[in-house]
Amino acid sequence: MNHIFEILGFILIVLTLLMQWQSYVRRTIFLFAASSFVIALFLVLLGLHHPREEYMLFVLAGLTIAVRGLTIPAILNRATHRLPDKPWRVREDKPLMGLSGSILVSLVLIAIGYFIYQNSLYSVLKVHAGSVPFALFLQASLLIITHKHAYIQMIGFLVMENAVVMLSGWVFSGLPFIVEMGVIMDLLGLVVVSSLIIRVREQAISQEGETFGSELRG
Amino acid sequence: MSYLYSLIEILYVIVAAPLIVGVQHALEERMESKQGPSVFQPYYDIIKLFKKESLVPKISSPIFRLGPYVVFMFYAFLAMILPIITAYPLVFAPAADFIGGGLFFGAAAAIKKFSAIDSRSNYAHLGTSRASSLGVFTEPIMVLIFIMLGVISNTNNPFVINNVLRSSTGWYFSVVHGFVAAAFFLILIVETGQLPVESHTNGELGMIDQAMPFEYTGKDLALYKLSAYMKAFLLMSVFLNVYIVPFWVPMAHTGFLSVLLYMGIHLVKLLGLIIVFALINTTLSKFRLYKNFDFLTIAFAFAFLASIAYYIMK
Amino acid sequence: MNQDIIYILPVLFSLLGALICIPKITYFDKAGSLIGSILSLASVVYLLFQPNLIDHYVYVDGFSKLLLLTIAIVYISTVLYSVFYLKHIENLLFQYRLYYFLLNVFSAAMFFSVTVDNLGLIWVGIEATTVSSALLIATENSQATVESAWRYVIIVSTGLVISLISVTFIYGSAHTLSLHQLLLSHPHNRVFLIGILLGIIGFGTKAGIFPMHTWLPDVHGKAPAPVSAIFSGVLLPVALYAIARLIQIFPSETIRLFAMILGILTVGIAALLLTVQVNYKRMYAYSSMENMGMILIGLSLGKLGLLGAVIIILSHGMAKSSVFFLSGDVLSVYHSTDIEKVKGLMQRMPRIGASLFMGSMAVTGAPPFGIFVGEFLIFSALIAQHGWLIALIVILLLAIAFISVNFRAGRMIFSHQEKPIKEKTHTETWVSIINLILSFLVILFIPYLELLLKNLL
Repeated sequence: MNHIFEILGFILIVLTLLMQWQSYVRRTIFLFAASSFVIALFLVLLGLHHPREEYMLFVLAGLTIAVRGLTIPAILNRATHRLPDKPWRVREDKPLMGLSGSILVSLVLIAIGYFIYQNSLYSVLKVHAGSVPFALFLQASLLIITHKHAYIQMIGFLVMENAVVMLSGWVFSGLPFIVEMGVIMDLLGLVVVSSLIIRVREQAISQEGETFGSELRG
Repeated sequence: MSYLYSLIEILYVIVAAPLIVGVQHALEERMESKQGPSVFQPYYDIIKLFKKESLVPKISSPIFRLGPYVVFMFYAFLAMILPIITAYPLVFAPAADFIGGGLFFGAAAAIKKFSAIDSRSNYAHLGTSRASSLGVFTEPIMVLIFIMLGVISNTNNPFVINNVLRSSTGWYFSVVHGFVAAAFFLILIVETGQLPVESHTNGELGMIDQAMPFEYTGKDLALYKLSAYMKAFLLMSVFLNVYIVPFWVPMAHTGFLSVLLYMGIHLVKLLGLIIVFALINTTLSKFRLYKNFDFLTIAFAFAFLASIAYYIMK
Repeated sequence: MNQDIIYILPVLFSLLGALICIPKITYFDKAGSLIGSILSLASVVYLLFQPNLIDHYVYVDGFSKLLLLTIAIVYISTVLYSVFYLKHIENLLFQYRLYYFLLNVFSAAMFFSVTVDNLGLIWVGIEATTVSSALLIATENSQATVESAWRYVIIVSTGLVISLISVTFIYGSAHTLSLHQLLLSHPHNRVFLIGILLGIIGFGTKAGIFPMHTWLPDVHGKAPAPVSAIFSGVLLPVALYAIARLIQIFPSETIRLFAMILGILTVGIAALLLTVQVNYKRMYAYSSMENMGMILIGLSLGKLGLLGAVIIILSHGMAKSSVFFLSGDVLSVYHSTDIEKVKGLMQRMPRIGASLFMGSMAVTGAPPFGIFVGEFLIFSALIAQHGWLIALIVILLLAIAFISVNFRAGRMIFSHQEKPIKEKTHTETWVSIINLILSFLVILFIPYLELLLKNLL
């Protein structure tokens, strides 16, 4: 069983690497939806693994598919239609560092996550391959830092959330159901609110350029 | 008997290599709803070229003449030491391990580049510099892949790796193996000149390997082409026999018939791989030249992930 | 369960206010918000005289009650102020209705965060404040406000993911998230320790504590005045409430030291950045950061320090909201947030000028106000526990902050302007003046505060 979890974890890592590779927003959204489905699969397997809590975990997996896998990508996709560019052209055009460089940094972060986990937490947790969620978390932060396009930053944040779900399910025995519910509801609200903010922001930037200049400094 | 098998192996590689390329070209044309050439077209080309006169640029040195012969010899030698139709070492196999095989591939590529430069043609120079700048990155990735396979099997011997992977489902379905195979697949695309990296046209902006033999004619060109087909064939065979489908390759003392039978199975495996390539070639478009390095970064990422995965799962 | 209802009344009343805002009828939004805020203030005052309640659903002790009180007061004053102030904002991103709706939901989320017994639900409540307040920042539609709202969303959410990880760690090692069970269990292992440390960093993001404070000045600089006021006055303390609970659960030496260092760094960064400010709203934002640093130091010290921290929370909540209200009035008259462009405030608007001066003195800890007493208590605890040297450093930093804020405020207020035009008085100034007086009155209730905090001191 652990072996399958490890494979799922690495699939998530590869999906995050591919998000780092892509510059088109719609493909990134698609990759995020795929990673949410992997998370849902993970929760189902976890439910089969812990028969005592399976009922809750299956409900949670269903919610994950409904919210993280379908609704949030749909909201983000719809929001790309409101931008001045054609939806399939919406992309990151001024990344902080080159593609190859950022992929290499992402790889290094996976290794760093492994070393940190192995040296600080492994002796206490005794969970095999527990460094995968930490690596995902670090990769997602890189995704946020290296991109200026707000949609991709948002997806970076959502990947981080997925990493936490993975962490709580794999390394520990999951959060209480009510807390998970609250987290999902918060996530949904955040995506709705921020898709509005992002839309206004990207419209303004693509029409006027960045004009706030020194107002947000110091 | 072992000598006989070696001879059969070389002949098999030389005879089957153009066929595979012909099938791939025919498939691609068919996928685009075109008539397409005969699957034997590469044979016709090579036979025609062998009948023609060879011309040599006046300012070139003997390296230009010798190049194709040496390269052909190298690939013929590689055919004897790699697991193509047998899963046990033949007479010459102890001559080189996996890293050694990699070095032979590298040496052949280097000689190809030297002879191309020696033609003093601008296009050949262009192709050589492009091929070298890609090669600088592909070869370390190759070495990383071989090292990861060495970690799996504790040896550098391709035959042992084949035996480990076909006998242990744990390794065969492991993440490490998956990542190594993915990385090798991407490198295979670069080395055999499939689409996202290189198209089979002589467009000046994108050509890499096509540009190198621009000054070759006649017999030299025929040998050159044949060895290019052999290289692709060998790499694909290694990919299939060692990494992806290590099954059904005949083990020691299973008799002559099983080797013959396996040749057929091997061609079917290659056909599967070629269908994948044809699909890629008909659906993807070519990367800009400088984007190829991003592609190599992804290949490196997979190879590196394999090593991280090995440590994480230990 | 029945008496639980009383303790969640503030949440219910503010949600009721939000519900009234939904139908599209004139004045329903304002009336609904007023009803919601008045009812929740009344219920909070009623709660003050009820016994503490700790069960599976709610955890209300003296500390929670005081925070509820602060939230309720700032909530009602924000609603009152918004009723008068919103007409000054041109180019609205959305209708008034949505503004009041979000304001009520935002307050409900804050009430919820300080009432529930479950650490995970505290997280949910604090994240809900992010969701409901993000649009409030962008009430005025300009590129800079939208950008600051976006920075707020992404930085704070990322920080809160860190605290979600911490919640996971705590649940993984203690197998419960209920505050009262955690307080009883005293788990002592490394996972738990790391969980608490991560939690301090994560919730610290929301409170403007050092490593991830960068959103704070942007948001306070660009948000409309009432939103800045409620952010600075109560949102930041609500995030600190979570940190206070974390410290209370596991009061080990490491965690206290860690929190104290973060607090001192926050005070230091804020004090140093205060010296170079040119924008008065950002200046008061850094002043909030400095106060949050002091509160964190107080929370990490415990005992007297905790009492001091609570006094600062109450007093700062009212004084800072009043200062931001006044800055909104100044902005609506001068149409600029540059300190250089605001001249002769005293001549143009004497009442606002005088109040702003008193407010600046109050938030930087001038003697008669509550913040001074709080800081004094924290210093006495700091000296007792860590010696003179650290206390001196912090006092020096506070002095830098005091001088830079009051020097600039003085320049705005007392500078001379040729041909001053006397503005007509703003009605909403009364809200700020009342808040300022309340902030002063806090010191009269210190013995009562001590009584309420008995279980923590």
